[in-house]
Amino acid sequence: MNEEENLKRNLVPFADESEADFVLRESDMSEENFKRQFYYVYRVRIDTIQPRVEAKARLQLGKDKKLTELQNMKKGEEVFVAGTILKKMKYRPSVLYEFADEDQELPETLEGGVSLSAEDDILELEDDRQIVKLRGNVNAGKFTTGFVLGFYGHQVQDNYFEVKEVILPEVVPQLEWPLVKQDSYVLFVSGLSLTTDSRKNALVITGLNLLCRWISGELYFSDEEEDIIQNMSRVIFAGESMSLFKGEEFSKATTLTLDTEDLAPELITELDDIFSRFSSILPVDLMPGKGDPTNDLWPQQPIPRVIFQKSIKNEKSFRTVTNPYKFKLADIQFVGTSGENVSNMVNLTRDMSSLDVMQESLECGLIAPTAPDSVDAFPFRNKDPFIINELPHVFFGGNQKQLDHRMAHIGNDGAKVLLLALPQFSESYSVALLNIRTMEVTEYNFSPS
Amino acid sequence: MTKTRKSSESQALSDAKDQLHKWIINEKKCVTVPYLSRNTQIKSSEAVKLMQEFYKENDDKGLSASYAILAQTDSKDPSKKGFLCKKVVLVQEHELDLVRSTFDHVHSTNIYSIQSNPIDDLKLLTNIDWDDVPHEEKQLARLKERSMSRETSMEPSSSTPAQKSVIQVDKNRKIDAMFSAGRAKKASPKKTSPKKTPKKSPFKKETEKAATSPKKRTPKIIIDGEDDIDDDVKPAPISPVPLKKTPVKDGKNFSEFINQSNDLFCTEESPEKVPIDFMDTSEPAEHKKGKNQNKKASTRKLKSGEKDNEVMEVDKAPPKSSRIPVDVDDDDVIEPRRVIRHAKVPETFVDEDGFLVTSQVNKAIETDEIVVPTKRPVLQPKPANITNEKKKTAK
Repeated sequence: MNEEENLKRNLVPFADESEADFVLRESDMSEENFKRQFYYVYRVRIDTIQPRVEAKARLQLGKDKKLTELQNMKKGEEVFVAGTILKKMKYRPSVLYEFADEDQELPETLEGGVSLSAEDDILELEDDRQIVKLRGNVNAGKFTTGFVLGFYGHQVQDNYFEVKEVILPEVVPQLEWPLVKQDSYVLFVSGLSLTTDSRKNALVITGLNLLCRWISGELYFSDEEEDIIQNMSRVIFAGESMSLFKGEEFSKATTLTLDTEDLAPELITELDDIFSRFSSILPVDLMPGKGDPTNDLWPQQPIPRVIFQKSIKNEKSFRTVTNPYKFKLADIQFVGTSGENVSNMVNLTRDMSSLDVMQESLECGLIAPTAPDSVDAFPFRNKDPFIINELPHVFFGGNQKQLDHRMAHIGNDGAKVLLLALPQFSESYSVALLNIRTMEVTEYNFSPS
Repeated sequence: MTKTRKSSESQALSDAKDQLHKWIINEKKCVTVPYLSRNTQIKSSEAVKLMQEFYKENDDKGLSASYAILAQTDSKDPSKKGFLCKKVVLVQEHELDLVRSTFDHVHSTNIYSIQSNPIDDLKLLTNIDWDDVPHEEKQLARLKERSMSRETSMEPSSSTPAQKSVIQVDKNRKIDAMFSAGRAKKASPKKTSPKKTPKKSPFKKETEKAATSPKKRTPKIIIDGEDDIDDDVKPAPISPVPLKKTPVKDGKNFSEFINQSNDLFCTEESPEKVPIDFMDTSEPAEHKKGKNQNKKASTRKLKSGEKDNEVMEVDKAPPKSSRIPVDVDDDDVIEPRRVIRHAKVPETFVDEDGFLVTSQVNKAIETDEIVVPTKRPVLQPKPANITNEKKKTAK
């Protein structure tokens, strides 16, 4: 008996909404792409988000408080200023250190995957004309370069601004939560991280095979589990299926060097086998991540389907998508990434978890605030694709250390978003199963040992 | 209808039971729930029940089983109170109780496989049964499929270029057929067989020598190979596959043109194109110096005394238009030579896995530029400007 006769699936309506924001167009790919400065991206960011900051300031500070330019500030006068945050970090690595002379004193660097934020990190606010350093009622460990924020306070010295209040942008509107009548599940898998280490790969593939057997219904446990599997709608592979780059932790400056010895077409074949099995059972969306065979700059474009010769035979059920990825399932809006933005922000902040930085990103209206500063991004001319114009219902980030989730309240208008940090399968052998009717998340573990 | 369906279901169950007995008892196979479900017309839930019953009934036959457990573990992190974590595990029968005790709550334990001999590594159970073919056999079949498709389609292999390997002649029949098909497409303006005009086809001999001495695949320097040169014959591409040919008798090292592959992707305008008869496996003619050849060689000689400080790599035989004999052994006479340039050319070879691989390889290609070498030529590329000057001088 084949899988179709064994299980009858109840699929829900699906719509891919990534094309407008994350797919590169011909107009983006002009000849001057890589000669272009990132000024244009920040310009669009400021022009889009600063009005939201001003609107929030009117509510928070009163309608009479108008935006003051930094060059027009007077010492002692309480003013409201806004601009882009620039974070000066003591332990932030730089590729320039590698070219320093032996005589030069280099800043200290931290080793290992720890936060790089120190207590004496400085935040600077930059508007169109001037830059000032911020101090006072502002936690430098909480923010990173790239946020567009407002501050209420006064100038104390020529280049210092004493902050009394931090003003975040106004939260963007959210679509009304739809009423989902029947249980429907989305399976999130992230971080397969196949490498040329065959022993490690064998364990990951064993775990995936076990997962595949489970979702195909071949691992029968109970009627309840069978109901879950029957109502499974989609599988999302959230990035980093391959780990071709021998990238070091963020504590060292990462240069894009590709170890050609690691390039193994067998990896592609293995992945193709895996994806073809999954896509023969359920619709599969494959997001790229760091190390996957697609462009490295965000937004990452879909992995070319042609390399998955077996999987593309399941034409309708196997899709390669962008990173970040935006889609709707049963009218529930999902926005997610492979997690590089989340990990990056965790590294650059202090005492903040994956969910904390994700919530902060939503509150400040940006999917990846640190792009293009520390998350490599495409130098767009007249858009910033990471600006959030509509609050999603589910916001997920892949390749985190462990599964974590919470229903966060964003803003003061009662908007709530399910934040979902997905674990790396190669380390934890865990996947996340989300019930879109109840928004319950269940962790399933398929460890081979 | 209901009775018919029930009867068909019961028939299917009965058949499945018989099959199970046959596979496990008679054929000593390892049967898993997915395998039973796929190969008989029953659901996984029914397969589980059937296998459970079978195992109980045949308890005395020394069978062993593995089980699939779905269990729940509660997180010890207080911030994750209420987080639901389920674990799916495959365990051997003798570990069942131990593993179950490690979980907070076991949802279900069901039989997964039955076999006559215990399995050492349960990971194997998850990696098989996809298409009723063991994983290793499937891989072998995949490799075979790949090699077959490549032989017929001539597409480049997706595998990484491996070392060149000598393939026995009997294994190359398909490759020979492929080349013969390619030859048929080529238009050959001059078809000369080595038997009839040995003087005019020195490149064939070079190929033969390369074929018989498969180890000599690296480019060799011609110290004095121009006696073999026939102006009328263009440099022949060398097959990377050693064919059965008689060894060349003159014993001289042959030039770079062994690196020229018999590339079917070469256009007909390629100067490196070789006459089809070159690939003939018939006995090659002996190489002999002809009078005509010597005459042609003599006409190429330039005035002595012309020196060139530039070094040149001597390898391939020059084409027809070059009439420059070079005799390095004679210290008094330094003749101009053709410039050799390094470029990437496609080369087809068979790798260790048996795949026909086409890859770009750095080879030395002879150009029409002429330069007077030094007494002891050394492998070095020549700048264009110096070459041109010497060409003018030579003229």
